[in-house]
Parts: sequence; structure tokens; C-alpha cells
Amino acid sequence: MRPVFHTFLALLAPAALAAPLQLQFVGVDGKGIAATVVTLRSTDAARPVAKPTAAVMDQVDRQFVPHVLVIPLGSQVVFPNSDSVAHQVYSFSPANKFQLPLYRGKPPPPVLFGREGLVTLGCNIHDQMRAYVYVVQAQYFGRTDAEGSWSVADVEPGEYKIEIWHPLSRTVRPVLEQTVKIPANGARLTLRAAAPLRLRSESQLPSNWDVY
Amino acid sequence: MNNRTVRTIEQAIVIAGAIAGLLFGATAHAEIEASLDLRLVSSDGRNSFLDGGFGKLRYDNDDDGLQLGRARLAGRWAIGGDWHANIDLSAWSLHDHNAIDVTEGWLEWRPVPTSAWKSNLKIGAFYPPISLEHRAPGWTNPYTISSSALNTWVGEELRTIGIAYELEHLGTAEGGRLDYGVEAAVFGWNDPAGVEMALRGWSLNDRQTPLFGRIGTYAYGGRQQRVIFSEIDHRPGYHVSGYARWDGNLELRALHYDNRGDPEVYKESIEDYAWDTHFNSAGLRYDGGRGTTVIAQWLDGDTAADDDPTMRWTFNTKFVLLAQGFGRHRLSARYDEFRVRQTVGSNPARLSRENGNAWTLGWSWAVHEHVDVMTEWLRIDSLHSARAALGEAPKAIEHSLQLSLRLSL
Repeated sequence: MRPVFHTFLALLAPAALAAPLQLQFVGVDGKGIAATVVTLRSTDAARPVAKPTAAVMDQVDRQFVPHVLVIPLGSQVVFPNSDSVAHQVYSFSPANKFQLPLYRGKPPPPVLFGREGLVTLGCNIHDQMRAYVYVVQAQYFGRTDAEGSWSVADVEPGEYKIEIWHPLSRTVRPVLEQTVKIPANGARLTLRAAAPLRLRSESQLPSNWDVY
Repeated sequence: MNNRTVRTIEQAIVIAGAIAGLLFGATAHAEIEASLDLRLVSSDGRNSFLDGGFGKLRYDNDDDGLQLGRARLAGRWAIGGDWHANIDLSAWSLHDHNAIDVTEGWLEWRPVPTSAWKSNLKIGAFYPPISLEHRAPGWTNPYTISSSALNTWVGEELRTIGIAYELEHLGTAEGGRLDYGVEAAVFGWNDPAGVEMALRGWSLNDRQTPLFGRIGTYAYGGRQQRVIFSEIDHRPGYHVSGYARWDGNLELRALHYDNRGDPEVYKESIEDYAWDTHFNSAGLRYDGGRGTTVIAQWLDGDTAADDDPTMRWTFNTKFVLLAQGFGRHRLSARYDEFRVRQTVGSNPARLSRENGNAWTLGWSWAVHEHVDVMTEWLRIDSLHSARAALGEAPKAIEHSLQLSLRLSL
């Protein structure tokens, strides 16, 4: 369905307004880096950014699912609990401080994410639960795949600031910031990290460990 | 009423209360955990310390065959205002002083952090933060069936029965690399701690002494059923501890313990002194990204009872454990060294002493969400001078092979 839909769009829209972008983010060794958050923000402040949406951060087997959620500014996120145990979700990140009551079953009302930036989530009952909500004010955003690639079929041509962040990068700051120009016929970009990312290793341990 | 009757009534109230609480919890909004650990055992161990011998193993050469490892029922429930209640009940053997008894039970105040500083207050009976092996619910070691000598002793003789406050700084939630915390606790009812170390020495097993239970041990004149959790001198003890954790996977812990026992105070009803026990412990744990874990711990302390200068012992131990996960399987290997010394005696050649080391190999397999299988081979090489009193050779090399089937709710 999706390619057909895009072809349909391409026929209707003027070509200059729908340029494909293919981006790959690689480390200093040239290998693609997966699971990074990519945002594209136009340098033209008058251009509208992505509209708020409704998103879900679930809790399954004492883990947040997904581990990283990227949402436009002003979005609402609901936190269902698919576990049989109670959770108590909170964040003390300056971008969005909140706390939900201890609950199982029916989730509390959605949380509004009204400030741009990185929000670290925790559970007050299960200290090992950790996840991130990345709140963006940008025209385009997404995450790189296993090869470090990310693509958008119809980027509006123009100048953009690209920011790349990795949840295991030991920093809340982007690991790469760069301004690029997307021409009317699209672009294929390879962005290279300036220094090794030295990512943290993700825990391989069962989620009911470290209760002591 | 004599002491025995009072004690029996106390136990009945606590256990009935705990079971009532769990039943209430099962109907109200509580979280219940239940598990059963069945063992197949083959051992050439000397008469076990649990039977009044100087054997180092929980199961000796009379215990081959099917055994109950542990049956456990635990509950946790929110009681409002950031407070939670926890209770952990276990049965270790049908021949124990109480068939079902409490290993831990505490109330916890756990406010939601509004900054990187996080507070936690516990009141009740719980483990001091020493073990880096016991990561699974119910203070269970997921690497090997038997714990290291160090953490076996923690399970046998230590429990913080009092109040503990912990302050943590969760730097990693702010994009930093370091989490750290400090804890201080004041406790009572841990005056006999040290008696097993002095009279019996170290062991490697998985049994935890229940709060109202006994530990079988050697005594002149035959086996004795000792009470470990009792207040004798009415002087509170304390421990202070701290941890630091880098990038969520390299953790260092240290603890200083002093039960501030007054060794001249004797309690007739349990036939024991307030042992004056101090120790320092430290440990390191690293969880690598490819399922590798390394744990090393060290403990060094001393204990004394009575005003007799010969009733003094020093003890120390260390171990290193290496584990590697492969999907649902995990292989673990551990090497322990341990030692106890009586410090003063009329005849230096006859001071009581113990030296030993142990190798443990474990394999665990998470068959299913509710089924785990674990096997363990354990070899303990020890020399204990007091074995001569039983007409045994002081040196013993004991082995056991165990297969554990663990079913959990």
C-alpha cells in the first residue's frame, strides 16, 4: 500500500515540494549506528513543525516499551500497565516533571509533554526500569534502523538543522549537530560521528533481578 | 508463663498475622509471589553442621535423594501514603523449628523522587546491603544453588531488625554516569551474630535462618539448636554502607557493621552471650554487555563473647564469581577462600582455627517463565581444628552435586 500511496502523492504534488531524503549515521569506523534519534528542523522559523500526536508508553514484564519514544512537542502520552504488578511512573527531568499514582489495570489520564527536550522515565517501585521520551520541535524525526539508516520520502526542500542523539550515549545532548541543505531532487547523506560514541552496554539481565 | 510459652505465642501471632496478611493481600491489591524448589542431591559431605557436625554442606552423605530446597510465599502491598508492606515466608525443611517461618518482613516508605535525590526508609527485618550475588526475589542467588561462604554467613547470622534510611543520587537519570547512595541503620535482636563463626566456622549453602527459627550447630555435649535473632544486652547495633555505580553496570559496595554487643551479658533462655561482632565488607560487580558478570566480595571481622579473653576470634573471607549467559542458559564459576582464628589461648598450639577454600560450578536454565532448572557441583576443602573433638580428621574435602527444579507463580 505504502509505495502506491507515495506514488499517488508524487503525481499530485509538485516535485519541488517532495524530495526524498536518505540518511545514514555512521561511527568513526564507518559502520552504521542503530537506534539513534534523528530530528530535522528547518532553519526557516516560519515553517510549521510536526503536529502533536497521541502516543503510548507501555509497561511490559517490568520494562518500558518502547525504550525510546520520540514525539512532537505538545503530544499526549498514555502509560498503560500490561503487567500484573503495580508501577509508579515518574520523571524529574526539567523538560517534564511529573508523577503518576501507583496503579495496575486502568491507566491514569495521558500526560502532556509541553516542553522540548529529553525526559527520563523511571518507576518508583522497580528501580531498574528506565526509558526516554524525546520531545521534539521539528518538521521530521525518526530513528535509525539496524544499518544506521533513516529515510523520509517527502522532505520539503530547504535548509535544515539535523540533530542526532543516542539513548546509550551517556549524555542528554545530541551527539551530532549539523546544518544541511536538501535540494529539490532530494538527498542521500552520510553523517559521520566526530568521535567514538562509547555507548553504554544495555543490560542483558532478567527484569525481576536486582530487587535487593 | 515461661519464656518458651511466650515465644511460641509470639511466633504463632507473627506467622498467623503474616498468613492473614497474605490472604488479605490475595484478595486486595497485593502482589503475591510463590515458589517451590525441589532438589535431587548427591553428597559425600561429613555430618552437616545442621545435624551438629562440622560438615560444611547443607546436605551431608545421609541426605542423598529428593529434598525440599525451599518453599516460599511472599507478598507486597501498598498501604497508602508512599508506604508499602513486605513479607517473605519460607519453609526450608519439614524438620525445622517452625515448618514455615519469616525470613524478612518490613514496612517501606518510598516517596516518588522529584529530583535526582531519592530517599527510602525501611522499618522491620531485612537484609543489610552486603551481597552482590542475591539479585533475585526472596534474597535468592541466581548464579549457583549454594551461596559464597561470605553471603551464606549473611543469610545465617545477619538481619537488620530495626530501621534503615538510604539516600541515593540517581545521576544517570540526568544524563550523568554515576549513581551513588549511602545508608545508615540502627538495629537490635542481632546479638548472637558471630557465634556460628566462632564455634563452627564458614559454610556454603542456601538456607537462610528464619527470624523465629534455629540453626543447628555443634556444641560440647552434642547438637545445639541456636537462636540467632535475639536481643540480649539491650544495646542497639548499627551499620553504615555506601555504593557507587558507573554507567549502570559497574557497582562498588562497602559496609561497616557493629552490633555493639556487650559480651558480658548472658541470656539464660537462649543459653547465649551477646557476641560483640564487628566487620567491614566490600564488593564489586560488573555486568558486561554480552551477558558476562563478574562479582568479587571481601569481608573481614572479629567477634568476642564472655569476659574470658580466650573467647575471641577473627574471621575473613573473599570470593570471585564469573558468570556468562547464553540466551536462556547461564554458566557460573566461583572460588572462595575463608579463615577463622581464635586470637588468644592458654596453649597457642591448640587455638581453634579454620582454613578453607571452595570451588562451585553452576548451570542454570530458564526453561519457561515459571520453570527454572539449576545444577551445581561444589567442592569444599577445609581444615577445622575442632573436628578432633569429634574424633574426626581436621581436614576434610567434601563434594556435592545438586539438581534443582524451581517452579514459580
